[in-house]
Amino acid sequence: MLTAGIDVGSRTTKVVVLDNQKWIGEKIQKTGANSIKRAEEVFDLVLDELDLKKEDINYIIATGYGRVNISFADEKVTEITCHGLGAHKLFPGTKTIIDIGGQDSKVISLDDSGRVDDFIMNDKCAAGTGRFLEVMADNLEVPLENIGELSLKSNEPADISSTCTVFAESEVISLVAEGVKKSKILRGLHKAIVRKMIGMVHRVGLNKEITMTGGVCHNNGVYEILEKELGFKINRPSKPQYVGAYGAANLANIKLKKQN
Amino acid sequence: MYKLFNNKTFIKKALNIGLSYEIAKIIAHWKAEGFMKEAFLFNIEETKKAYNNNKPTVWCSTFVPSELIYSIGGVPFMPEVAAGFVSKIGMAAETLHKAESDWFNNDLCSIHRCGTGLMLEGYMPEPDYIIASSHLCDGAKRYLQHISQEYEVPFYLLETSYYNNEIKYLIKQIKELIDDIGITPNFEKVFKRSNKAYNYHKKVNELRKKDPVVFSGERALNLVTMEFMSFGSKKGIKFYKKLANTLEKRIRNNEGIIDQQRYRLLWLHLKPYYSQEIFTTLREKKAVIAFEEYYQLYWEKLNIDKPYYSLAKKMINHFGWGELKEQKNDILELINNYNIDGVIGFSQWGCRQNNGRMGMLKKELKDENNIPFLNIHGDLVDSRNYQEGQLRTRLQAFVELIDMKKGGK
Repeated sequence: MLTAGIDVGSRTTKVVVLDNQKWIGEKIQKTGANSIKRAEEVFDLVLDELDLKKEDINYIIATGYGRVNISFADEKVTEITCHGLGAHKLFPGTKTIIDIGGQDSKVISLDDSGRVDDFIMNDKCAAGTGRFLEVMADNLEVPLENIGELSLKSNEPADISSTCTVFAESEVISLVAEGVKKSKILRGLHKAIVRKMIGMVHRVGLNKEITMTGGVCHNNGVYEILEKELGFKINRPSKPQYVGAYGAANLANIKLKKQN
Repeated sequence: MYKLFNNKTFIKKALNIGLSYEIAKIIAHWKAEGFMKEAFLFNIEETKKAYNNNKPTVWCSTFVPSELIYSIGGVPFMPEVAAGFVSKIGMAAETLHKAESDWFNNDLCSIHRCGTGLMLEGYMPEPDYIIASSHLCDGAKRYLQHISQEYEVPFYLLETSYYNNEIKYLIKQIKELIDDIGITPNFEKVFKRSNKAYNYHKKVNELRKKDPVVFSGERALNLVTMEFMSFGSKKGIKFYKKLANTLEKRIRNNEGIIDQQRYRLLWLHLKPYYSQEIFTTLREKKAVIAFEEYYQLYWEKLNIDKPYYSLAKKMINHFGWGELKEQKNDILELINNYNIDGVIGFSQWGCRQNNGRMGMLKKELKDENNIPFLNIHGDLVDSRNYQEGQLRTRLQAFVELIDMKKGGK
C-alpha cells in the first residue's frame, strides 16, 4: 500500500513516499514562484526515482501553506496535524514539537496518544524563522549552511533585542560597524530565535519530551542554545524538513486503512 | 455600486437626502424578508433620523444602553457601529488613514480610529450630545470627548463601577446627565419595548440550543447592531419576534445552516466586518459558530419602578465587565448550554479589555476543563491586518484538533 505526503512550504516543497508505512523515498526542492508547478515537479522526481507512476500511489495528502492548490492530492490537511503525526511516528514519546520553518514557526503539543492537543504559530511576519536567518547570513556574508558552526565559536552572544527581520538587520549592521565578531553576532541572533521559541513553548505548556523539526533544525547553533536554555536533550530527526510530509504520508496510510 | 461608495461627495449627499433613505427602504422591502428586513429597516430609519436632526442625535459608545437615549427622545448614533459598516463596504482604509494622519496612533483600537476618520472626513451626522461609558473600551471616552470638542457639544462620561456594590455612583451620574440635558424621560414606553424585545431574544437564545445550528454566528455578529441599538425601539421588538419565528420554523423543518454539521463552536468577542474567509473556512470543515458571547442576555429586564437603577445595572452587568471569575463561569455555562465543542477567542488589535483576559481563558478552558480553545489575532475593521492564509491554517488545524479529540483522524 503506497501513500505519499507532499508538504508545500513557503520556502521548500517536500515529498515523502511510504510503502506500508515504510519510508521508501523523499525529495526536496525550493518552492519558488510557482508552487503548483514545483509541487508537480518534485512529486514526479520522487516517482521517477522510485520507478513509480502517480496512479500507483493509493492515497496522497497535501500539507503546508500551498496545500490548497495541489489538485492531485486526495486530501488536504494542515501542517499542524501532519507535523504532530510525523514527530510522533519518529519519536513516539514526543509531547512538544518545535518547528522552525522557512517563513513560519510553530509549537505543537501532543497528548499521550500522539494527537494534537494544542498549538501556537508565529504572527503574520517571518520574525525568527529560517528566512530571518537567511537575511542575516546574507548581511554577514556567511553561507547559510555555515552560520550554525560559526556561532558555536563564540561563548558570548551579542545582544540582539529583536527577531523582527527589519529591526534585527539594523542591529546587525550596527554591530558589524562596531567591529563585533561575526560568531558573536550569530550567537546573539540564534539566542534571540531561541528566546522567542521558548516563549511559545511556555504558552502551550512545557512538556518533555521535545522534538525539533523544520529546516532550522540543521543549524547546530540554534539547536545547542535551545537545549541549553531548556536544560534537557531534545529529539533531532535526521531529516527534519521532511517531518510534515512524513506525517502527511502516514496520515494518508491511516485514511486508506479506514476506507478499506 | 463600488464606485459610488468611493465617491465622497455622492455618499455625503446621499446621507443627507431623505430620498436616498426611501430608496433604501424600497430595496429592503424588495430584497429582504423576515428578521433581515426588520434589521435593514431599523438601520435605515435610525440613520435617517440621525441625519435629519428632527430629534436630538446622541452619539454614544456601544455600551451605553440604547434605552437611555430613546427615553430622552434621542436618536442613538454609535460611531463604532458606523465603523463596522464602512469596513463592510470597503471604505475603512481611507478613514483609518485620515485618523492616523491626525495623530491617532496605530495602537489605538481601529474601530475608534475609523470612527474618528469618518468624523474628520465629514461623513457623520452632527451630534447634539455625546455620551461615553467607561466600561470595556478604554479608548472610547477619549476619542468621543475629542469629537465633542470638535463639534462643541456637551460630553457626558458615565463612569461605570467595576463592582455591583458601587452602583450608586453610576445611578447618580445617569440622573445628573438627564437633568443636565433637561428632557423629561419617558422610561415607561421605552422600558416596555425593551422588555418585550428581551422576551423574544430570550426565546431566540433558547432556540439556538437546538441541533443542528439554525442561526449562524456570522449572521448574528453581522446583526450585532441590533444588540447595541435596538433595545427600547419598536423595530427591536419586531426584529427579535421575527427572528424567533424564523428559527422555530427552521427547527421544525430541520433546516441547519450547513449540511452534515459536525462541530458547534462558541465565538468570543466580535468578528472582522470586512470580507474574509473565517466562517467559510469553518464551514468547509463542518464547523459552525453555534453561539457568541455578544448574544448573551446579560441584564435583567428593566424595572419601571427603578429606572435609573435598571439602566445602571444593565451597564455594570455587562458580560465583559467585572470579575474575571464571573466571565469564566458565564463562558463555561454557555459551553454547557450550547453543547460547544470548541471556543474561538478573537483578539482585536489594540483592544485591552478583551485581549487581557485571553491567557486566563485559555488556561481555564483548555487546561482546567479540557475544552479546545483557539485565540486568533486580527482586526475588526482594518483589513490591512488580515492574513488569510495564516488564519485559514489556524482555523483548519483547530477543527482537525477537535476532530481528533472526538476520535477521528
